[in-house]
Amino acid sequence: MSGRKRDVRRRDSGVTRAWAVLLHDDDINTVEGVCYVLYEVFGIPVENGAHAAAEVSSTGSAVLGQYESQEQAESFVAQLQLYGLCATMKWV
Amino acid sequence: MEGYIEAISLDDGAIRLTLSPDVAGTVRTSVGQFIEALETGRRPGVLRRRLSNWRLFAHAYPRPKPSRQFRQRHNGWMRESLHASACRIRDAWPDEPTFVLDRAAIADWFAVCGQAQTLYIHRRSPNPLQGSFGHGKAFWLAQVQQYVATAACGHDWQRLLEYDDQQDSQGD
Repeated sequence: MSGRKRDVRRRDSGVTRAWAVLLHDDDINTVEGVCYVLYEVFGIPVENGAHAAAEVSSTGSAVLGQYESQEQAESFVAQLQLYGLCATMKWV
Repeated sequence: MEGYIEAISLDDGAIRLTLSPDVAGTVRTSVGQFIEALETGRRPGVLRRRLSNWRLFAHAYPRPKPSRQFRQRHNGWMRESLHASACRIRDAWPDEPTFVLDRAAIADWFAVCGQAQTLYIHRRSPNPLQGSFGHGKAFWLAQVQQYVATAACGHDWQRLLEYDDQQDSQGD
């Protein structure tokens, strides 16, 4: 992974960059299921989870969080995938 | 098959899940098949196809190489975690198909009922149930998962529905 190069670029540009964890729409998981998982993994209240699920449904994906640590972002992605959600991460 | 599922939120964050005998039998069979598939790496059915990691878990990155590296780092413990969850469900199976699930057991049930569907359907297919041999099992697993999730969200979910109804009625 080229994390060191990316850290340098971030300092030079002065722009804060991070690892974004994204949730993608699928034909399997329901709003209730997404709300439950977001509460379990992130502690997101059900109402906010429902808003995130609605965003995923309407736009195809939603950013659930941004993390400086790739390891931390991977940990969240793995937990979400363990529950069957279609979660990915990218450097933004 | 006509089935019956009931999931009720209890005060302490637990839920009480009641399944009709035929639904309970279907879920129990699927949990057993899921455990076997995770142990042997093969799905049930005549062809005994592989239960691959990509069938269970999405690609973690937009690009293939980091996704492969992610799988090498995480998919092993993720499969072991699913196996442990399925074994706990199997080992705690009661004589009567009524289950009181605490928070840890709810997580086990949600994950296993979701992931065990991959034995019978391809979850990322545009039409996951079409043409699959075990679509009945997948259907009931999805139903149980849905009831468990709704009951786990419990009173918060009920309040949210009431709030949405109020917003709708104010907008009319």
